Amino acid sequence: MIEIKNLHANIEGKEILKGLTLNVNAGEVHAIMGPNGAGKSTLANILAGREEYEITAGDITFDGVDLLALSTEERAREGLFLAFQYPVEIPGVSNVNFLRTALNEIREAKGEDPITAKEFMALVREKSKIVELDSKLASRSVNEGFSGGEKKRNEIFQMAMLNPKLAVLDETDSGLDIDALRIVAKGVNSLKSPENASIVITHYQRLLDHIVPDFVHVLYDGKIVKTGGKELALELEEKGYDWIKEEMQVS
Amino acid sequence: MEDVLKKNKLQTLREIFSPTSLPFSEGLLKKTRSVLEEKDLPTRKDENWKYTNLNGLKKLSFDKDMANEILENPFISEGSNRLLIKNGVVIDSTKTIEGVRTNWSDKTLPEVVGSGVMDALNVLHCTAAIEIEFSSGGKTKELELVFENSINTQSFPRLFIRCKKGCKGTVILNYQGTTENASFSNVSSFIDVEENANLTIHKIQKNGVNAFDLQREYVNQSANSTFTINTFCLSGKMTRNDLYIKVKGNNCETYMNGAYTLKGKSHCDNHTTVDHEVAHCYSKELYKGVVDGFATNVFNGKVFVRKDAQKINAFQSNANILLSETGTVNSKPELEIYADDVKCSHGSTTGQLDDEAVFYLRSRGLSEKAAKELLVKAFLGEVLEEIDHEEVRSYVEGQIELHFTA
Amino acid sequence: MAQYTENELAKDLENQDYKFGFVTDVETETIRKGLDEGIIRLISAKKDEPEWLLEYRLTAFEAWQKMTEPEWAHVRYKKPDFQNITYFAAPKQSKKYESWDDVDPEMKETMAKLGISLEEQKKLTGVAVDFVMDSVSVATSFKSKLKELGIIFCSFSEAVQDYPELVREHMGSIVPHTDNFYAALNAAVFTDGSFCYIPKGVRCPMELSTYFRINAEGTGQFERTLVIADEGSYVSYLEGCTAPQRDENQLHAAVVELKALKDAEIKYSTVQNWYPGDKNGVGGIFNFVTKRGLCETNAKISWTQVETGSAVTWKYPSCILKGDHSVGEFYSVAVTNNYQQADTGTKMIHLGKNTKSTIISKGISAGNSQNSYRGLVQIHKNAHKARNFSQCDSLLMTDHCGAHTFPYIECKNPSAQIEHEATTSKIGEDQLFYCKQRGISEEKAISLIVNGYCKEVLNQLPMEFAVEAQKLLAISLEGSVG
Repeated sequence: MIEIKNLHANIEGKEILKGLTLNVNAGEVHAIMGPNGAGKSTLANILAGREEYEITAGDITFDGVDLLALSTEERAREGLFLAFQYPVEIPGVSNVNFLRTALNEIREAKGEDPITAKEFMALVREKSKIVELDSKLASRSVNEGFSGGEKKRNEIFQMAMLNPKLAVLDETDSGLDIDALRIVAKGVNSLKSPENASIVITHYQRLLDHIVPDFVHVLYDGKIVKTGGKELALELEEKGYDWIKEEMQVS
Repeated sequence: MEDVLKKNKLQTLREIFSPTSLPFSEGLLKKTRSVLEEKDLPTRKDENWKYTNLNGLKKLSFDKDMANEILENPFISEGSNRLLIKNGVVIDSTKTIEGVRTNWSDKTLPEVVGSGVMDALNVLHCTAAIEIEFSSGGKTKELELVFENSINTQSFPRLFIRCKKGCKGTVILNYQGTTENASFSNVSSFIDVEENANLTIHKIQKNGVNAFDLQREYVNQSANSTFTINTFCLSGKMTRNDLYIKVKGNNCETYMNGAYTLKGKSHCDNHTTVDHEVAHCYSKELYKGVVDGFATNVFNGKVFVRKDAQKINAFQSNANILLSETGTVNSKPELEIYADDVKCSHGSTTGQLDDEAVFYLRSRGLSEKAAKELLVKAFLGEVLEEIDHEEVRSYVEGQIELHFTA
Repeated sequence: MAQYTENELAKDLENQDYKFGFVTDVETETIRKGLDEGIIRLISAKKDEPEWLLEYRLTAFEAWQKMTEPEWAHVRYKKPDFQNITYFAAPKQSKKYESWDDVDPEMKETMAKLGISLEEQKKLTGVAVDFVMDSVSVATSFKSKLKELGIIFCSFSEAVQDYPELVREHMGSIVPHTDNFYAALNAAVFTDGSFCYIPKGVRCPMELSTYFRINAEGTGQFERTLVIADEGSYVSYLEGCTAPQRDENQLHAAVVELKALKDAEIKYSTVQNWYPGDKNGVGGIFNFVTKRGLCETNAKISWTQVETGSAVTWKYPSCILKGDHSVGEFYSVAVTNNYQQADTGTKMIHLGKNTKSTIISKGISAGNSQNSYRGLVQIHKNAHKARNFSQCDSLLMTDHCGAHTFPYIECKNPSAQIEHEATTSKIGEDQLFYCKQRGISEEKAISLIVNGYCKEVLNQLPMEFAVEAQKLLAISLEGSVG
C-alpha cells in the first residue's frame, strides 16, 4: 500500500530522517517505536504533507501514486489519514459541519455526489458509537474545550467517518488514561479490514497491548534500525531504548 | 519684541523661561527656533492631547529669586552613584562619576532632537545636559539621578543614556518636588540600548502638587537587547510622559510597567508607543493605577507592528480603579498592525474595588479605609512585582502607603 | 443556519467576482449635476415636500458648507467632488405602485437577481421589504398586513406626506443635521429611505427589510432611515445594499436614526455589500454613514453588521443609553480585501443608571486592505453601575494588509465597570493544515475557519441573512491567502 524508500528529510537545515525505508501492505498494522527525537513525528508529518520539512532524497509511493507530488488535501482524498498528536481547536466550526465538508470534498474529488443530510447524520450516529463519543460532542466546535481523551477519541471518530486506506496514528496513546486508551484501541481495531492498513507511532508499548501490530519497527536516529514481530515491543519495554543505542554503537 | 497682538500662547509662555546657556551649535538653535515660529501649544484638537489640556500653563509665573528648600536625603538607592540636579542644574559638577558627563565645555552636545513643540522648548531653554554611558570596562553599573525641583523652578534637562554592546545598566530617575508653588519641568531623554545590552530605568515622579512635569523618552533598541522602564506617577499637578520605543533589531524584549496614584486635582497622562520595526520581538506593557478626588488619568498605549515585522508578540494592559464620583479615567489602548504573523493583544479595564472584598475585610475587623487601602495595594502589587530593584520597590510601596495617610 | 451546507457555498463560490455588478436598464430620471440651493429646492419640489422640510434641508446645507470633511479616520482616498455628483436619480415611474403587479418587470428582475424576489418572499418567508433603488423607494411589500397592527412601514417620502407629524417630531432628533459633515450633507440632499413606526406594545410579527441599490451612473445615494419603536414594542429590521460595478467611486452617505422608547427593542441588522472596487482598487462605493440609536428606560438597541463591501467605509452605529437599565449591543464582522479600507466601530454613550453595553467586533483583513476598529465607550457621571464589555479581534490573512484597533474609553463614574479586550493574530497555520489533512481545500478551509471565527456575530442575524452573510464572507475572501 505504501512504500517509503530511503527517505531523507530536513527541518530548518537539520537532518531528521536519514534514509528511512518502510513497506506497508493492505491489511497490516505496523508499529513504529523509538526514543524521543528519533524522527517518529517527523515521519507522520511528512506523510501528511507538512510543508516545513524539506525532502532531500528518497520517494514515497502510495497505492501506485507518487505521494510527495501531492498536496496535503490530495493525499487525504487519496485515503491517507493522520490522527494528530495534538489535535487543533477550530473555534466556531462544529464537528459536524467540519466532517461533512471534509467528506463531501473527498467525494467530490472522486466524482461522487455529496452525501445527503440524512445519510450523513446516520453515519455520525453509527460511527460515534465506535469510540463511545457523546453525540453532543459532534455538534460542538472542533476540539474546542475537549479534554485530552475526548480529542483523541474525536480523531478516531473522524477516522471512522472518513474511512481511510492508510491511517497514521501519531502518539495517539499520549495523555490517555487506561479507559480512554481501551476505547481508542477498540475503535482502531474495529476499523481494521483487509483493504486498509495502519501505522501506529508510539513511544510506549502499552498501546500495543490493545492494538496488536503485525510488525514492530524501531526508529532511531532517522532510520529503521530493527524490525520484528509484536514481541519486539515487549523486549523494548523491558530493556529500554539504551539497548538499541548500544547495539547501534557496537555495529 | 514681536508684536504683542500676534503673540500666541506658546510665545507668551516662553517669555517666562530663560534662554539656554549651554553650548548648542548655532545651527541647531536656529533650526529649533524656526520649528517654533509657526507653532502654538498643542490643544485638545490634537489627537495626542485629546485628554490633556495645557491651558493651566497660562497661569504659570516665576519669581526670579528662588527660595531653596532642602530635601532631606532624597535618594532612594544607597549603593548607587548619585547625581543631584537641583532646579534643573547639576550640583557639584566637578565630582566625576565614571561614564557620566555633565560638563560640555570641551565636547559638542549631541544634536538629536525630538519632534514636537516640547522638544524644541527643551533645547532652547535647556538647563542641563547629562550623558550616561554604560560600557564594558566601566565600573558604574547603577546610577541615581535626583531632580529636586523647588519653588518657582524651571527645569529643562536633557539626558543621553547609552547602554553599550553587551552591557547592563540601571538608572533611577528620581523627580522630587516638595512645595506647593508652581514649577515647570520639561525633560527630553534619548536612550540607546545597543546589541545584547540590558538597560533598566526606574522613573519616579513625586512632584509638588502644583508642578507641571512634561517628559519624553526616545528609545532605540538594537538586536538582542532588553529594555525595561518602570514609571511611577505619584504626585504632581500635571504629569505627562511620552515614551517612544523603536525596536530596531531582532530578538529584543521590551517591558513597560507603570503605576499611578492620583488624588486632588492631579492630572496624569502616559502616552506610550512601541514601534516594532523588525521581526521576532517581544513586548509587554502593564499600567495600573487608582484615581481619587478630582483627578484624571489618561493612558494611551500604542503597539505598532510594521510591515514584515513578523513573529511579534506584543501584549498591553491597562487597569484602573476609580475611587471617586469626581475622578475621570480615559484609556485608549491601540494596536496598529501591518504584518500578519503576529500575536498582539491589549486589554483595558476600569472599575472599582470589589464591594464583597471590602465587606469581607471589614467583617474581619479592618476599618473601611484600611480595607480599601489593602485592596488598592494588592491591585498595584502586580506592577510592583515586576520591579527587580529592592530599594525602588520598597520606596514606591512606602509612597503608596503615604498616599493614603497624607 | 444549520440548513446551509458547504456545498451550496461551493456553488456560490464558482461565481467568485462581485455578482451584483450588473446594471438595470430602466429609464431613469435625473437632475443636473452639482450642489447648490437651487438643487435642494428642486429635490424638495420634486418630492412635493412641505415647507418645513425644505427649511430643514436649507439649514442643513448652510451648516454643511461651513464644515470640512473629517480626516481622523484611518483611511486614505481622493475626496469626492461634491459638484460632480447627481443628487437625484429615480427610476421613471408614472404613478405610485398600488400593487406588486404594477412594478416594472425590469425592476422585478433586478430584485430577483439580488435574491430578493418580493413575490417569492411574500409567499414564503414573511419578510416585508422596502426596495430603494438609487434615490427612490420603488416597492414596499406587505404594507396592508402591517397596517392592521398599526405598524407603519413605508418609504420616507410617503411618510413625509402621510405622517408629517411623526417625521417632523423625530427626524434629526438623534442625528442632528449639524452632527457631522456627511450627516449634514444627507440632511440637505436626502431623497428617500425607509420609515417605520411600531405602536405601543406591538411585536412586529415579521422582519422588516430594506434593500438599497445604487443603479445609475454618476449618482450618489443619500437615504434616511427612521425607525421608531413605541413603548414596549419590538421590531427586527434588516438592511441590504448592493451597487453595479463601475470604475468611478460613488458616494453613499446615509443617516439611520433609531428610537427605542420605554421597554422597546430594536434589532437592526445590516449586510453591506456595496461594490468594493476591483482587484486594483479602482472604483467602488464610498460608504460614509451615520447610524445612531437612542434608548429610553429599559429599552434595547442591537446593531449587527456584516460589512464586506465598499471601497472605503466610515461607519459607527452607536447607542445613546439615555434611559436607566437600557441596553446597547454592537456585533460586527468587517472583511476587507484587495485595496478596501474600513474604519468602523461603535459608540456606546452611557447616560442612565445600570446601563449595559456589549461590543463584539471581528475584523478580517486580506489583500492590501486596511481594516480598523474605532470605538468609544463613554460613561457619564450619572451612569451608576454602568457596564461595558468589548471584545475586538482582528484576523490577518496576508502580510500586505493592516489591522488596527483604536478604542477610546472614558469613565466618569466610579461604580462603572468597563472591560475591553482585543487580539490580533494570523489565520492559524495549524488549523489550515488540520483541515487540509482531512481533505478540505485551502479556500474552503479558510471559509470554514473564518465563519467559525465570526460565529458569535453571525448568530445574531436572522436566518436568511446569516446564510447570505456566510456566502458573502466566503466570496469576499476568495484567493485571499498570501
